[in-house]
Amino acid sequence: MSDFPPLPQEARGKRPVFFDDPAIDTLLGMLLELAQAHWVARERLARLEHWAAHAVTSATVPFDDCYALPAEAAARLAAERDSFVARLFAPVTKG
Amino acid sequence: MSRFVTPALALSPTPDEQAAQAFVSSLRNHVLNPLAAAMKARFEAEIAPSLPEGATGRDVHAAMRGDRLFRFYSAARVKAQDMVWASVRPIIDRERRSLADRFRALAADRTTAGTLTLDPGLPIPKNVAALDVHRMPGNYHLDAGADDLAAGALYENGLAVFSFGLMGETLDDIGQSIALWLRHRLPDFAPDAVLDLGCSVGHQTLPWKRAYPDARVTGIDVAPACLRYAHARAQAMGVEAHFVQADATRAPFPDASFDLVFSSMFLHELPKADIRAVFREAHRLLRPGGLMLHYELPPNAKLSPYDGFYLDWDSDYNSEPYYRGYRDLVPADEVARAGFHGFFEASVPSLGWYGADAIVAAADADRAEASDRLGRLGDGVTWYCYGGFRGPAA
Ligand SMILES: C[S@@+](CC[C@H](N)C(=O)[O-])C[C@H]1O[C@@H](n2cnc3c(N)ncnc32)[C@H](O)[C@@H]1O
Repeated sequence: MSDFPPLPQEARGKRPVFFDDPAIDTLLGMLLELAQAHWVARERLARLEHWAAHAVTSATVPFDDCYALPAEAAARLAAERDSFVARLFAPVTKG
Repeated sequence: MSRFVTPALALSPTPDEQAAQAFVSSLRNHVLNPLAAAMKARFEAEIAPSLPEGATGRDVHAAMRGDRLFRFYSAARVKAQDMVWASVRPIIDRERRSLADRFRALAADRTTAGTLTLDPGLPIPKNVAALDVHRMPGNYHLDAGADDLAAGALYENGLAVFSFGLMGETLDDIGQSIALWLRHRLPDFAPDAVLDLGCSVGHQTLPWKRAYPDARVTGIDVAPACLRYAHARAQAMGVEAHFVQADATRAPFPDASFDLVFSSMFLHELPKADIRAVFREAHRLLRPGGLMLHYELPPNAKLSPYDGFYLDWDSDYNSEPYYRGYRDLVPADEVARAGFHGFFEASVPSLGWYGADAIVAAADADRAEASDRLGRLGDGVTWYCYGGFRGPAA
């Protein structure tokens, strides 16, 4: 931990609102937080699945923060992330 | 997203924190590319036909305000902006002491002759002190004294997430591209002293030392923790540069002490009176024949009303209150007003996007062309820059 004071969490100034009912702005913000949290869990699961699938041959490798996906699997996951975000917004561009 | 950050100063996000950052980059990429394209298509199909002849960017804004796509684009973009800073802030809180220790070690290192000169008494101008530019909590001047790097780290790490690769591997594509362009545009120009105004963490400062190794390169900014970061970063990269805490409207250097006065993404964060003061100051600081050169957002007059509206979004919704006022100015007039001659403007292809050959080819064409890709951060980037020369001494 650090002996410095914590950084400010919020930007100064008014938060802009775009919808007639500001609740929609709020809900969109909540949705994107949730989508981010989902994505964090998805990546963790992908690492865990990869580790589990390879644990037989590399039983000595612990599952921890250093356990990373190989480049090819990481690239697949990045593509999945982009299409997840695209799916999230698809109803906006279609409607 | 430590990928674009100077390795010696890189943070150590957990895999979960990295996933959260990667999500924000994907989100921004989606909002700024496909969603922005859909919004533009909607404008062209449904809104443009009903706009009167001679409509301005402000008229486009008024017409778009009620549009559903504009609302989703804007609300998602504001949220994504806040998520950029939120995705790096806790890591800096955790590593702030370690960053300070790294600063001390790098500053003590004698690998370059670079220097850092802070002026704790310097007043922070209102355009910095009174707001959080682009919603960056604490803004550039946040400082806990001693060896604190937090504001610089927030800026560099935030930019790495924010720019999803478009600013180059070391976030200095602007400086590298423009320095290469200038070397080919003016092959006989060999500056002895270069000054970078509003240099922040020095991303676009160091490329000048690489382009002109014999020059003394100085960067000034009002933000102490950004300058400490700039100094540590230059030391880590082995590039000699001198960082000085100073206000660009009244820089603490003698008359005629530079051959090139440069700035990048700086003028649009200043009120109009300060922009003019900076131009006068640049004129004072340059030697006869010296060059003032700015990388900036293209002026509204160069853009279609829609593209003007699109860029001015930041002025209304991203805590960039001076952005539109800056872009309403006509660069040629401002350059002439400060006493410069030989005004020029150029659209320099991004090195990372188009490669060095494209820059060399562009150096031959000296007039910027109006284009919707002029300086906008999205696929296919070019950097708009302009400037003028100081005449011989009267
Ligand atoms: C967007 S940042 C510039 C980034 C940097 N030039 C680059 O291209 O990487 C703007 C900087 O201008 C600085 N600034 C604002 N007003 C200033 C002034 N009057 N004098 C010097 N620096 C100033 C801010 O502290 C901030 O670091």
